[in-house]
Amino acid sequence: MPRLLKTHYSAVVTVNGHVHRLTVPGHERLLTTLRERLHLFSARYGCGTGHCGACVVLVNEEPVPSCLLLTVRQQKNRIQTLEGLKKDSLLAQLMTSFAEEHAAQCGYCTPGLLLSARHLLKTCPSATESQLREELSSHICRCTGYYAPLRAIAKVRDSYAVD
Amino acid sequence: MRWIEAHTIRQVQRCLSANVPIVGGGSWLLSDGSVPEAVCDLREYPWAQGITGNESGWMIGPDVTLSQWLQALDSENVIAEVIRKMGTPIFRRVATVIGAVANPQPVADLYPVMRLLGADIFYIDLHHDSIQHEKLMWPFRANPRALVGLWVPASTPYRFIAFRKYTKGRLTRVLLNLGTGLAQQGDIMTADFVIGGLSQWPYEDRVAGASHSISHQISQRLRNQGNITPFYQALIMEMCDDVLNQWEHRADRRSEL
Ligand SMILES: Cc1cc2nc3c(=O)[nH]c(=O)nc-3n(C[C@H](O)[C@H](O)[C@H](O)COP(=O)(O)OP(=O)(O)OC[C@H]3O[C@@H](n4cnc5c(N)ncnc54)[C@H](O)[C@@H]3O)c2cc1C
Ligand code: FES
Ligand code: FES
Repeated sequence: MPRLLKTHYSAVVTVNGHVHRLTVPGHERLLTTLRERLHLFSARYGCGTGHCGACVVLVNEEPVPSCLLLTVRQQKNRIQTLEGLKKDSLLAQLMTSFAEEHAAQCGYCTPGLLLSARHLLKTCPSATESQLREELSSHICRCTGYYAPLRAIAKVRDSYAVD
Repeated sequence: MRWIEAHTIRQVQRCLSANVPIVGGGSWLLSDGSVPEAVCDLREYPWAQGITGNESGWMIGPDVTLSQWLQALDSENVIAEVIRKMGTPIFRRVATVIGAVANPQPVADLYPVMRLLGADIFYIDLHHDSIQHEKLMWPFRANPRALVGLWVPASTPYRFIAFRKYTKGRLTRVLLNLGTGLAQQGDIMTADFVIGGLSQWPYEDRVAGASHSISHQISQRLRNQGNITPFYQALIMEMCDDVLNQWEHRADRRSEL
């Protein structure tokens, strides 16, 4: 039977390996759940329309805008935020490279950029310049002009050895 | 907001009769904080799920994202070319193929090439107790309807299909897009074109004649329309000439081989 009367739903969501049992309104976006219920603040609110990439998280390893996703639809998915990747060596290399290349200024876009960059280098370790640009096109950065993040990611690509 | 997972035709029809919108990836329906009273989710609808491809074509279920189809396609395929030009990678991982063809927004990128390829939609409406199908064409004849599958045949009457798109910037609104299908028999060339962005519904037309006259004929046809501004005429002609150039190039290469 379709659930015709409910407006709140029990949702079991797995974030950074932890299983959370929540009751959320049907319209709640994953971004709101992460920030306001789970206090994971790396994903940021930028536009709320899928255009800026500030809210990117990994869903089943793929970077997606959490502002467009309904929390109730995430029950079978594995969600990761930057907080859950503290021990990830590729992410650590990217963060170092971002610092060295001054690729983060205000830092608002940085968590999203890092997750997209990590995804690209994992799935395509020898990504070309145009693939890097294509992946970064998901993100708006008002500070760096994009060259510094591109340089930082290319530097890791050139040194990153796949396991 | 009520979230309704429909598994049967009856359940889908109840949603349709209550004007509950069907949600695909939600990138359009739910963007900018919009909250419909209820949405109907077909992701688990047990008719067509995922991508089924064989030599005769593709069947796409309502759960398939643009990104998933892009990965399944040969990178040279014109559909892949269109999808690569849609939004950004993060958007393509959320928006569904069926959401893109179900949403008759004035400039929709997937529609022109789907029309030229002769795609069929499979749908549930309020008048039939079984799944119906017909050629994809906007505006839809019966409303409301829930799309449960998209069939895209592999064979086409064209020798060459091309897509062009004009936006002011990557993230700004699309102004115009053009899908063109070219066929040739002897000296006679046929060009079918579908243009989005000129009015509420895409404009479709066909010209035929000697290949060297095609560009002139298209230009004449656009002028005769009366309501297409000189800016848009020039834009369309630039795209058309670019497509015709590409086609000639291909023909040259073929004859060399
Ligand atoms: C960041 C961003 C970039 C974009 N870039 C482009 C672009 O470059 N080119 C382009 O063409 N479009 C673009 N769009 C628009 C996008 O393609 C459309 O919004 C498309 O409909 C998205 O698919 P969806 O699965 O998210 O649809 P949804 O948002 O879920 O639904 C869109 C509409 O289609 C209806 N619908 C969805 N599924 C069904 C179904 N199975 N049966 C019946 N009706 C259904 C919904 O009720 C709604 O009215 C962009 C949108 C965003 C947010
Ligand atoms: S806040 Fe999600 S893409 Fe901008
Ligand atoms: S570093 Fe400020 S928006 Fe990117």
